[in-house]
Amino acid sequence: MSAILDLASLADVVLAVTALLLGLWVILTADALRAAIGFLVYGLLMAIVWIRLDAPDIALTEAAIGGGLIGLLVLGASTRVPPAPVARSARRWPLHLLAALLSAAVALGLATVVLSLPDPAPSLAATVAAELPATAVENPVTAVLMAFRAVDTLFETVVLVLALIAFWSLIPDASWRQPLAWLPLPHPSPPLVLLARLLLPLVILVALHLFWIGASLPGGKFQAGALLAGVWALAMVAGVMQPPAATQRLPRLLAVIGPLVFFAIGLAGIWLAGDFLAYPLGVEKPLILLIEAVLLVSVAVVLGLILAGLPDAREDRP
Amino acid sequence: MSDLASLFTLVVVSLGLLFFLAGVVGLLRFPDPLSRLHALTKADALGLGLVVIGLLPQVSWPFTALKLLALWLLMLIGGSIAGQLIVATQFAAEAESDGDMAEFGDGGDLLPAPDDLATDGAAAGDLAIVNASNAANADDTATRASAKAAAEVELGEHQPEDACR
Repeated sequence: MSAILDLASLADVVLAVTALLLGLWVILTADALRAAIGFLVYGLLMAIVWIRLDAPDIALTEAAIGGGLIGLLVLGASTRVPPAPVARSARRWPLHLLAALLSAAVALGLATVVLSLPDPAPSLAATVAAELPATAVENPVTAVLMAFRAVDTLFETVVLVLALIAFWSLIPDASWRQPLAWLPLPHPSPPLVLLARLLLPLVILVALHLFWIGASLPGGKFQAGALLAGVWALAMVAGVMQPPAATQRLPRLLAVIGPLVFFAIGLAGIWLAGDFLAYPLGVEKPLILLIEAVLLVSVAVVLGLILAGLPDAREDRP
Repeated sequence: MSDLASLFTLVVVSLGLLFFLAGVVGLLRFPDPLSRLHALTKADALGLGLVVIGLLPQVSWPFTALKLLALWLLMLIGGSIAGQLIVATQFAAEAESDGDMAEFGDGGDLLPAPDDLATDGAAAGDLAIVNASNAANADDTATRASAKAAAEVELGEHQPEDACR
């Protein structure tokens, strides 16, 4: 038995060292494109780390958003910025040294805090487990997100909408009405179109499954929304679906409907249940399900619209 | 019975890992992108298939086993199509930069393996920048100069496609 335990901890050590080295390589490598690919792999590695730490909810989110979506955004950005001139980066070494020292200080501080915790670390897990029946939801993570800390989740989704507004504020006035144009390929190759057609229904099914089991098992709206956004982006790349324009009403409505419904139900709670974001007795489960459903739509649409990029300004040029 | 199942799992999963090892060795040692891709897709398809088959006796029938098989099927589809896309991108890059590279006498190994992965996800319009960064990695001062020139063109014009023409 102890041999198996040792093997497992050996695998953990290998995993941790690989994650550290890969992180270091991503920071130190000079080529933006290589760094972006390294970051993608780093996200997937972190998902495995979270699995080893018994946090499947975070692992799913890390794989879908931290690795997949943000990796895609970084990859797209790395192909759009020109490579940094070598001479300038040599002049900025004091800045790099300062950043490295500050990062090391933060890491050391965090390590000190974690290592100096008392042995049974202070935890609210028992309280959450005791109060879980009141929410009619079986997955404690979902209960925390949708009931105990619902106000955090509400403002997280508002932040998503704000991010989209900030991103769209980069659109030049002249191309405001044109479709978002970073993704579609001029001549998508047939295998890519086949992949998009095959994956579109499959991923929608998997995302709905992930959303539905979120009430009792790891999963939920954020992971499912990221999946939907990803497959939407793939469909736009392959030309199976056309990207919308920022002026279209339907995507805008779908992007804000989640936070709007969440906020409305939260406000109604003041009269019906005595507090902001309190759910009336007996209808907690249907209300949480409704909020999760509209949030799923909004998360998917906002992430998909951000992936779709900005309109192509090049068409306006003489 | 369960001993027999464990033995089966051990043997078949080890065989699968062997394929992954061969794929990694091929990725590191083969000379050109197409051979590297050949090694890698074999490892993906066969190695993962053997690992999945080896794990089947250890999981509950039907749902977990079917999920494992579905994962393998998805990886087969995704892996083989990704391979096709990388090859197409490779040929497109060679065709596009043929005129560019002719004067340097070498049109061969344009895309090192790690960058192949990226062009898979990148739009065709970004090929020029990928080429530029590849050239910058090559040990050829002439190519580096041309890449720098290309980058400067992009900086001024924001027209990635035109940079290579």
